Amino acid sequence: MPRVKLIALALLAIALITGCGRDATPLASAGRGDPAQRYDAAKALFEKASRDYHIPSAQAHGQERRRLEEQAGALYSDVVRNYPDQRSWASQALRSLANIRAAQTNITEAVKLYAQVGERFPNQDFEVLMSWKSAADLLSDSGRRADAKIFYEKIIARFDQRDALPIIQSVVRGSKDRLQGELLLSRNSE
Amino acid sequence: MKRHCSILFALLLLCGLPAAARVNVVTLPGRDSVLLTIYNSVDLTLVKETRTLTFRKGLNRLEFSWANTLIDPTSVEFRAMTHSDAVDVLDVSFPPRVTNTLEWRINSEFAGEVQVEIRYFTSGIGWSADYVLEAKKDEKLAGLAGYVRVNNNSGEDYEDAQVRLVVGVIRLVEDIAQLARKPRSAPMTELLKDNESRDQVYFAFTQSDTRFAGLGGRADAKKMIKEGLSEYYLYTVEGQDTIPNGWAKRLGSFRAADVPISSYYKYEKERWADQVVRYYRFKNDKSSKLGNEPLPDGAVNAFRLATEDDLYAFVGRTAVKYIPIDEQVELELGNDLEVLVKPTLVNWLKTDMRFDTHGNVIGWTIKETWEIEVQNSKEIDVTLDIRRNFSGDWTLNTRAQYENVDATKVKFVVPLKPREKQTLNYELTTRYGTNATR
Repeated sequence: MPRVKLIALALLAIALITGCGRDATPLASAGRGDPAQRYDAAKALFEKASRDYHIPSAQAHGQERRRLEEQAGALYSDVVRNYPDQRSWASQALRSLANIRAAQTNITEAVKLYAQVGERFPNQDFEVLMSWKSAADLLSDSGRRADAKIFYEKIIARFDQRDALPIIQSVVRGSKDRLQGELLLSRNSE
Repeated sequence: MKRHCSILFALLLLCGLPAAARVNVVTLPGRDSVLLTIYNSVDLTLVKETRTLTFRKGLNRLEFSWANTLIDPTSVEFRAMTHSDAVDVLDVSFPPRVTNTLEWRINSEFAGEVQVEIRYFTSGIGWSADYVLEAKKDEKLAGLAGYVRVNNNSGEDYEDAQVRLVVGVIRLVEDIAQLARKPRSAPMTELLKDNESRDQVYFAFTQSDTRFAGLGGRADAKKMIKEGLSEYYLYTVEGQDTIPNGWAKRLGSFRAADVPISSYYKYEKERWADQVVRYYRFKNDKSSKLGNEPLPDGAVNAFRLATEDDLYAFVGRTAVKYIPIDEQVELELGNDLEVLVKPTLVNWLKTDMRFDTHGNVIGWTIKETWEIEVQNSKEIDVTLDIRRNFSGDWTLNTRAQYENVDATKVKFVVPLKPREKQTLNYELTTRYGTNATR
């Protein structure tokens, strides 16, 4: 019996050292690799989600659309979970996951995920900007103006700079206009 | 765009309805023009495209998608080229129903066609130059054609694109060029997302682009800019061409006929052993029917007319470095068996021995007599450059003409007629030990 145990332990050790399968998936290899390899792996996973599932989902309907969205969502979640160090791809994946929830009209979950982009990847300026703007517009369009106001104000507080890139200036200008519109609306409703 | 829908334009009219009830997806207009300015040294390309859109008075929506491309969305700019006073971007939003897409909300006081410009930076487009030189039979004149190979791995197709290449380094972005030279797998646009100097880089590039934008026609567009310590050149490729994603396209750049060249042969045992190496020489100047622009680094394939019915023989392939205007070009084209150099040591003598008080040798002199046979088996005139390297305290005695290249090297330049043989003789005296005076 001890001999059997020893053999089993040896086999287990070999399996742990060599890896259990030959075809290591991006998930299986997520913990390994130098930064360049991890960058490529995160990029490949993100692009697969986007190209194979998310983009086609926009053209699909009913069950098929739902299936594609869930598959895209699962891969985006993998990117966020396994490659948080690849901030560019992880933040895009998190925002894309939020986009899927928004497209599914799951507004609360979408806004929660959009907000997480700013919390988990604060240095990814443009991803944060896009996420906050998407959250704000989504809330505004669904009538949750007080919640939208928070995001518009955050955008203005952080990105309203004279020397910002033109696209950022446009987002800020739009946020200010929306905020003014929201304020007018709330004043009118009082 | 046809294949990927990676850049998608849809002009959506609001008609005063809420977003969910948007109607009338109007035309998806193709690009009227697209201009790629490729900054090879930092893997960035400035894309400027114009489209004619039909606006309705009031609020219009315009979508732009960069999904699965290397376009940097932070660099995307929209501006109206016509009716610019009447067209105003109110807002940019990021609709969730499609991935990596932005939507401009544009107010127009004008109803009708408006020409707009969209500009942005992308990575994944690069270029390399190559040249074809076709020498005439006598190797005194040649045709020279320049080509540019554009590689597009940006994820986006560019149809009927005009291509401009920036040769040289722009001073303001040297730090970014340095960053680009580091080993990396991420495209430059990705690296720049984490880099605070990105705005400066884009500003510098667009500024340099603006300088060229005002130059007008194609003839004027070839322009050298000197700025501080940096020097760069905007190289405009003639015509337009479609460069699909994943493709490399070779575009004609320039063509010059009857460029004066000379065949120059070099022999230096320390560099090429017993081989004689052929060079073609020409100058990048007006008198050589070139000199309109510096020539970027690139490979040169050289051919020589072999028969009267335009059959060309391959002469050799080489690489040239950036060739400024008025600079001499030397193309190293490899070994040529039809020109021979055979040096022979015909005599050797040790003389003038000096000894110390114990009888040890402390000084001596060696005299070598050399004979160099040279032979041109070709049917054209050639010039042969023979280099000899000497060390120590040496003197050379010869009737042949030579010049000192440096303290340890001399060169004999020998013009040879077709099928001519010559013999050069020289005596080399080298002093060692106490005999040496230098």
